[in-house]
Amino acid sequence: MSQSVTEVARAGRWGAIGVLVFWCAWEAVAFFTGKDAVLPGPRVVLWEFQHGFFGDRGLEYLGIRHSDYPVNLAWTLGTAAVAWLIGSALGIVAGLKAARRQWLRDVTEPVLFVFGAVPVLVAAPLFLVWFGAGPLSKLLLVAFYCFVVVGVVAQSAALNIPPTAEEYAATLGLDSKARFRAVVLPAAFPPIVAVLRLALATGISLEVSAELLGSRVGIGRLIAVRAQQGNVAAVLALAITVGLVALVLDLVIRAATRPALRWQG
Amino acid sequence: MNAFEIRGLTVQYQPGITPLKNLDLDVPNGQFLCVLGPSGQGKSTLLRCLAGLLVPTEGVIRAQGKPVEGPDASRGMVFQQDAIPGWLRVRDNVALGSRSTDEQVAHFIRAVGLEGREKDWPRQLSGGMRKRVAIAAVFANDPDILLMDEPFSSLDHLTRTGLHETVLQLWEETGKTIVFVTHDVDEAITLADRIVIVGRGGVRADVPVTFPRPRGENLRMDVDANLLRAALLESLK
Ligand SMILES: Nc1ncnc2c1ncn2[C@@H]1O[C@H](COP(=O)(O)OP(=O)(O)OP(=O)(O)O)[C@@H](O)[C@H]1O
Ligand SMILES: [Mg+2]
Repeated sequence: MSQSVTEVARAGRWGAIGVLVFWCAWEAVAFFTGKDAVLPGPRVVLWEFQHGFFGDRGLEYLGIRHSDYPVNLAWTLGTAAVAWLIGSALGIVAGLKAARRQWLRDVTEPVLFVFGAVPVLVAAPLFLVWFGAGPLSKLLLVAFYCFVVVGVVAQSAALNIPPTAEEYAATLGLDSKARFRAVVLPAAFPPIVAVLRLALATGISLEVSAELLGSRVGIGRLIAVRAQQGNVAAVLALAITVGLVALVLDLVIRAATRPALRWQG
Repeated sequence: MNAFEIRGLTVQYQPGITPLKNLDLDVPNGQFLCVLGPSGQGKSTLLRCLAGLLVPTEGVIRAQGKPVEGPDASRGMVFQQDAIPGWLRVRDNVALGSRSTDEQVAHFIRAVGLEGREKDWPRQLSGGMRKRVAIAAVFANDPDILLMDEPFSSLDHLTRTGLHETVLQLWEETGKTIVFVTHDVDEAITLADRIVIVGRGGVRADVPVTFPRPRGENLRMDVDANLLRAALLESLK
């Protein structure tokens, strides 16, 4: 316990050093560039953050009803999180099932391969056309992405379990269901956690990108408007805020799954 | 009744690869049988058939009179490779079997000398200790028959001798049938009631071993034991 606390403290110290170095470098580059409109320094961005956080009257004249950070953050992250939950859950189930059934793999592999390779920039507008500019199109886009990535990893994780592990359990009298719970699930868990973290981070950025293309609410929508106004500092403030919240969510996933991964040391 | 009746057992993996051909063998209940043979002669194949993990191409295997149709709790197996799940602590590993009871689990953890390590993860154990976990798990599940596939071949001499004593003690205490695969003649002589040599698809030799137990080091000086060792080495060629 105390060991993991010191570990976290150590990681935190290095993280703080990294942030500090980055901040200084940014400040220096901004100073030498000398143009706040092109590359605003961190303090300008911070100022934008403080003033934009609870909303901006100017944006409301442009027809944006909610211009404050909390509502838009909640919208963007909420949609991404729900999509991530649904897509990943289905992906885990489908991937693990496919690992147990050769025919299911044979049927789905080419389709998944082709559609998994469609660039998101192509898929996003399609989803907007099919499902409208509301939240549904983004939800489906992010969920689909999570489903494919998590499904592929879950399947290969289950396929990579050494066959003796299940055979051993079978000779101890565990039936197929019990083996799935005692062997397949825990053995596939570490790579699944890794891909869940990846899927959440990518899912959030997908959600923001899709909002850029067409949405009435969300951080992506605010970024699009600010970009049109040429307000680089505001764009950066919004982007960094999303990144920070994504980081916090990642830490939450790691903390929540740590007990189940302790056996790996 | 016999623990195993094997009739006409044939396994063909591919055309030309037929490690077992028409093998017949009876194993009485309570026997400690060692299956001896050079590498690649189908020892593991035989054991996998006995466990129900491999369906033979031809022939029948009856365990306690009933045809073997798949793996189940009545035939436990200790694998050559490390097979215990790394995500279960020692105690949970020993308790993995469907028939194990808390009492049995505690008893066999003690019997293999893992008391005090119940909460350890497998990665915190040595290779020999992990083998002990596997043995305790199989015994705690109370099978009628134990199948052991070169379980100690990767261990040093001292550790192996210690585990021989453990297995013999458990065998004497529980009276279970054990089919123990090895390529080590001395290991077979130390452990077995009976040694069967498999080769070229069938049983090449079938020898009873009647030296009094405990056998241990004094067997090295014994004339009969040395004669048996020489004869076995000869038929292994
Ligand atoms: N799954 C398989 N597919 C094809 N051939 C196999 C398979 N398993 C084993 N064989 C072949 O069958 C023969 C017997 O193998 P087996 O593993 O039973 O030998 P063994 O006596 O246990 O050898 P060792 O002492 O080295 O463990 C070998 O020639 C091996 O190459
Ligand atoms: Mg073998």
